[in-house]
Formats: sequence, C-alpha cells, structure tokens
Amino acid sequence: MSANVVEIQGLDRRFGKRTALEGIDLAVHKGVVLGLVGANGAGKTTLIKHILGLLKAQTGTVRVFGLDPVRHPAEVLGRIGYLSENRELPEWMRVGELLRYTQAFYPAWDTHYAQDLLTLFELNRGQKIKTLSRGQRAQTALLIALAYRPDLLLLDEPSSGLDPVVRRDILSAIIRTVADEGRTVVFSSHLLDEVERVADVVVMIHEGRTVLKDSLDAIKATHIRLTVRFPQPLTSPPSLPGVLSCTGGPQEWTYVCHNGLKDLQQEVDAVHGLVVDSAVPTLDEIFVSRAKGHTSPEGSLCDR
Amino acid sequence: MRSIALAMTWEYWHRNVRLIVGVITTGAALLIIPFGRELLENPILTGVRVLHVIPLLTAMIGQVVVALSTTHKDRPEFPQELYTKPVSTVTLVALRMALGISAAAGMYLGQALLIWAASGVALPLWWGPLVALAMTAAWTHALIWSLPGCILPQVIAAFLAIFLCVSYYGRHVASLVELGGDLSGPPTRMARGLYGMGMVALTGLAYAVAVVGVRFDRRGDRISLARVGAWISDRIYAIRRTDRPFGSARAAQFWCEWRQHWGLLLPLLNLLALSMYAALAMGTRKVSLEVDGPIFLQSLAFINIVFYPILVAMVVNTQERGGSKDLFWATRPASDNMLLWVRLRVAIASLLASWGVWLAGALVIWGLLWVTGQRYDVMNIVTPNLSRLRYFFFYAGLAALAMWTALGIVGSLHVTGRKLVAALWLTPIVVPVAWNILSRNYHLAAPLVAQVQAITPWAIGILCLAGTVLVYGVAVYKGRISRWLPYAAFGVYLVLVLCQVVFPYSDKSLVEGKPNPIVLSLGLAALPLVPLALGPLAIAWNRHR
Repeated sequence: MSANVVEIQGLDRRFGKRTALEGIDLAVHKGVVLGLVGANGAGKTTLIKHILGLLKAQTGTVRVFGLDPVRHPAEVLGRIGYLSENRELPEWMRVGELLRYTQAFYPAWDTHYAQDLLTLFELNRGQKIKTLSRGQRAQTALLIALAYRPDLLLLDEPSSGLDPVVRRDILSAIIRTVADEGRTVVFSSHLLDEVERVADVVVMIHEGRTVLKDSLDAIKATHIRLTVRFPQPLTSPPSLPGVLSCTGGPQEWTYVCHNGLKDLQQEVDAVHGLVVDSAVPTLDEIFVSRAKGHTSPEGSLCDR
Repeated sequence: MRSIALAMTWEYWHRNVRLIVGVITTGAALLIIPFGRELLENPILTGVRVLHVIPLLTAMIGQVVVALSTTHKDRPEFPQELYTKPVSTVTLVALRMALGISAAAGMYLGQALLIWAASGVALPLWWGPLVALAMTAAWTHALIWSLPGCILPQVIAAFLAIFLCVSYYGRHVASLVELGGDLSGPPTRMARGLYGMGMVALTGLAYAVAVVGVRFDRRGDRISLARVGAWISDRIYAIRRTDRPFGSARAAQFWCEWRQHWGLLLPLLNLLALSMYAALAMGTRKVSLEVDGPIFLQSLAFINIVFYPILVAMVVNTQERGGSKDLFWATRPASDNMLLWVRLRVAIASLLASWGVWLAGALVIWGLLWVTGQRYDVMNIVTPNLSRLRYFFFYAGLAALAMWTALGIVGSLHVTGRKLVAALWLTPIVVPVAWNILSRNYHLAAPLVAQVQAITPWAIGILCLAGTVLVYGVAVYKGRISRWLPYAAFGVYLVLVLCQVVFPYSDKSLVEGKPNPIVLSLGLAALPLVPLALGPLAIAWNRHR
C-alpha cells in the first residue's frame, strides 16, 4: 500500500463543455499541511469532492488511504474530517443533537475534546443549527470535523465566515495541532496570506490545471522579485529567463521570475539594466504571476 | 422611470411574467384538452360550473403562488426593499395589492381569452369572477403580509382565504350565473349589485388589514408565530433531551431520517382521519357506525395501499444535490446501501405505523359492532364479499407487494436526486389519463382504440420484464449489487409468478374477460424485484456523480 494519504493521477473532470479539472496529479504525504490555492471557480472544491468520492473520476484515478473513495465510501469517509465550503448542516437539528448523531458514526469520537471545542467556540448545545450565525455555523461544522481526530482533515475554504480573530487564533492553531499530531490536512483557500502562514506544501490550481506544486520553502527559494532600472525609457521591457510577469515602466520594471538572483544578474547586465531591488515575492505575487502567465498569450506578460 | 407606480409595476411584471403566463396556459389547457369537443359542440353540456370554476380556481391558486414568491423564496413577506423607499405604507400597500389583484385578474382574463379563441365560448367576466378574484387576492396578500416569516401559517391562511371567498362567491354570485344561464349574453349581467358591493367592501377590509400588518412589519414589530413555535420546540427538547449515545450508526441515521423526513406524518394522517370520523360519528346522526364504519375503514385502507407508499417515498427520499442537507448526508461515513436501506426502513416503519393506527381504529369499530351484535359488518370490513374471504391472505399479500413496489420504485427514482428522473413515476398515471382524454373527447377511430387496448397489456408486460432485466444487468455490471442477487431475485420471481399467475387462474372468475392477463401478470410480477437493483444504482448515481 502507498504511504501517501491521497494519491491522484491524471484526473480529468468536465461538466458539460466546461473543463473543471485537467490532468491533475497529486500526492499528499502523511503529516503534511497542504494548501490548495486558486481563484474562485479554479477547481479546488471539485478536487476536494473527488477526494471525498462525491464526484467520480471521469479519467484518471483517485486513491485515499489506498482506497477508491467511490467504491469504499464508509471506510474512506470514516477517516476524513470534512468542513464544506457552505457549512452544510441539518438545519432542524440542535447543536447537541448534531454531536450525538455524528458521534455514532465515529468509534474514535473524543467526548472530552468535543466538549473542549464546544467551550472554546462558546456554542450552546440547545441552540438550533438554523439559528446559528455564519461564524457559529462554521465553528460547529469544524467541531464535528475535528472531534474524532480524523487521519485526514479536509477543509474547503475554512476561513469563509470566520471573523479575523477566530481565523488567525483558532483555525491556524487547530491546523497546526492536527499536523503536529502526525495527521494530514488539506485545505483550500483563496486567502494566500493564510496559506502562507499554515501550509507546508502549496498546490496552485488555475482553470482546472496545476500551475505550481511544491513545498512552501522551495517555492520561496525558487522565485524572486526584481526591480530593474534601464538607462532609457522602454515601451516594453526586455525579457529575462524564467520571467513570470513584469509590471511598471517605462524606465523601471518589476519582474517576478522563477529563477535565482545569480542567474538573472548576468542577464540584467546584458540588457544594460541595474537591479535596484530584489526580494522574495509573497505567495500572492507568485500566484498572480503564475495565473497570468498561464492565461496570457506568449510575450504579453507585462503590464504597464 | 417617472413614477413609483410604474417602477413597481415594471419590477413586479419582470419577476412574475413567467408564472402568470404559465398559469394562463395551464388553466386554459386544463379546460380545452378534456372538454375540447364539448366546448365546440355544446358548451352548456360541459356545465357552467366547470366552464368558469376551473379558470377561476387556477387564477386564485396562481395568485397565491405569486404572492408567496417574493425575494426570499423560503420567507414570503412584503418586499422588504420597498420599505427604504420614500413612500407611505398606505400607498405602498395600495400599489402592491393592486398589482396582486391585476395579476389575478390577468390570469383569469388570459384563460378566458384563450378559451374564447379556441372554442368561441365567452366566460363570465366583470361583475362576478373578477370581483371575487379581487376579494380573494386582497385577502391572500393581507394575510401573507401580516404573518411574515411563518410560512406554514401563511400558506394555511392563504388557502383559507380562498376557501372562504369561494364559499361567499359560490353562495351569492355563482348561483346567479347559473340562473342567468345565458353565457352568450353580456357578461355584466352576472351578479346583482348588492352581492358585488359586499365583495368590494370585503376587499376594502382586506386592504385595511394589510395596511396594519405591513405597518407593524415596517417598524420591526412582526407578529412572530415562529417565535411561539420555537418556544414550544424548546420546551419539548428540554423534556426529552438525552446525551446518551446511539447504539450504532444505523440507529443514528434512522433517527435522523425519521425526524428529517416526517416519519410521523402518515400515522398522524391516519389518526386525523379516524378522529374526524369518530367526531362525525358521535356528533352527527347522518353518520352511522354500522353503515359507514366499514366503508370508511375500507376507504382509508385503500388510501393507505395506493397513495401513502407514493407519498412516503416522495417525502422520505426527496434529494436535491446542492441543497444544504444533501452534502451533509452524502459525506456520512456509511455505505451507499446502508443509507438507502435506512431510508426505506423509515418509509416502511412509517407505513407500518399508519397501519397500526388504522388497525387500532378498526378494532374499536369492530368492537363496537361486535358489542351491538352486528357480526356481519365486522366481516364486511375485511372484505365486502364474504364468499371471497378465503382470498384474504392473497389480497393482503398483494396489497403488501403493491405498497413495497410503489415505495421502492418511487423512492429509488427520487433518491437519484434528479427532478426529471423522479418525475418519471408519474408516467403510469399521466399516459393512461392522456389516452383516456384523447380517445373519449376526440373521436379516435374505433379500430385504433381497439388495437391500442389489445396491445397495451402486452406492451406493459414486456416493458416491465425488459426493464427489470436491464436494471439488474446494469447494477451487476456497475458492481452495485452482488452477482448472486439476480439469481435469488429470479427465484423469488418464480414464486411471485406462481402466486400472481397460477393462483388467480385457479379461479377463472378472477380473470375472465380481461385482455392478455398472463403477459401482464408476468411483467407485473417482476416489479417488486426492481427496487432491489434500482435502489443501489440510484443512490450511487446521486452520491458519486
């Protein structure tokens, strides 16, 4: 059996004429926090639904804990804690009833941990789900996803609906705790600062395709943001190796490149430029550059 | 837009145009299709009541739907966005109510126009139906706006308004229409002024009620029946609250499905029917236990056999992906088969509970009849013909099979989560009704009718058999059922064939004069086996898309 918690190979998915996922290959190792990054509609939720077995692979294979989630839903879902994007919960239940109901499905349900989370989130057992605020709803859904200490925690846009304090202090802490216990977390988000804070590995999806997949450290080490000044104003800047995007002009241009500074310096010198600033780009800058580079026709990477 | 009235009309029209056109065409079709020939040849034959009651009721129900479908579909109320406009409540209500009344009138007029164009029959218009519609629409809107946020009371109030208005109209105006009788005459002669004025006055009263209700709503003082409901619900929860864990996931799922899908609905309906009958039997001399008791119980049993399985299958299995409950349901760590069979168990439990209530009622009536020495009537409850009592177990088994088949097939179609597929269960009802209407009203050639009637049993029988084989084939191919199930099903099929075909043929009187009953019976005998393969296929199709 593979050591990977999730293993996806050559996954394609179409909805009518629209391609939602194309050629996705993904392997998630045990104990890793994987951030799934992409704009709205990029295919993050579709990918998560394949992991849950709610969507059947049209092409390719999906294995979770070595099993096909469509063939073995009980075995796979029993080890996954899932927080859906829209926090789907049965409206008619009360919080206490939901806990009692959910507990029956998970032999590993930790009553004390559930109670701790209930206290931490200040939730009332007697309150009906339909009367919960958006934030309370998210907390309730998170509680029932965590209370049985799942091997894989699958969070679809976990920050949505949470206020900044809860988002930073609770969510991040929980994700890190889960990972420190040797369990695996896959979470999708379009808030890149959040991903940057929590994730070990980042997968960027754009229009159904993987545009970047690496550890956060490796991504940071292999990308650079350069600001280059040229002697004369230029209508279009000279191209540099590994350039993903460039903005600015006419005399000073900022490049985001997939390359080291050492290699680029020579190229900048060759085009009579002067590097006035170099820094590690944020994940946000890398994502925007990658996404833009992916959709723009060749040679139109620069914005003025 | 230069005026508020114009802006509101524009918004109202754009929001409701499809619904209004739909009501007009549906209402006209409901009249033209079944009565088309009569309308052309002899409109009086169709009867004045049918002629104008169908469009009138269609318009009345249509306007309720329009009134309920506001910005928040699950929370009908006076359009909240209008509260921020610099317009007084009196004007807002007047404009909005006028639009509601116009829509109702438009629905009726549109139908009248279509019927007139198709058949030349002029429906009564002005001083009758239209005033009644105005009164009904005014009360409907007044009640819906005065009870915001309480959908059930709103719907009940709206239909109560229709019932009361139609009663008033039927008592004072429709009878005059019939007395007048001359449909080709000027429509303004339909009602006497006094009754019409009564309806106008009631319309004005509805407007006053609406103004008061909307005023409360606008300043945030809602009459919240929902709060009362929540209070009662909280008290019930406090009494029966338990933190004791469920014994198994299956038990938890059963509890969830039972509560979520109103498992108690059908037993309660039975109880309600029995209570109403008991109240009538005790309070009215017209109802006598010995005469009506058996008839009542037989009717209720018929409803339990024919309609309840369909109802329970629809209620228990309604699945809409994308809705909040369904993703939660789909992500439970349970096998497809477990989720499916728990649902069917809930349906079966609901049906059994209904029969339990029925049996309790029957026992009471039996007891009373026995005490009063009317033993013949006791037997009469079981079967109307004592000579057929020996077939009791056969009929009971057949009834159980019919219920299981309806429940299983309709439930499986619903559990696919596809509305169009779910609606397929209507086919066996719609096709014969449509054929009946066509053959009776449009003088279809006799040989054609005879041919269709001769072929139908063959076609149904073959279709059932072929469908069953196909469903089992696909289920095995997709790995949704085990490979031995088709063999087991075939064994059960043979037993059913023996019971369903051989047993009735032992008594010729049961099958004499019926066309091709053997082929039909062979096909129908396969139907109870369909859910065993269709259910797993359907749930997998829904859960793993």
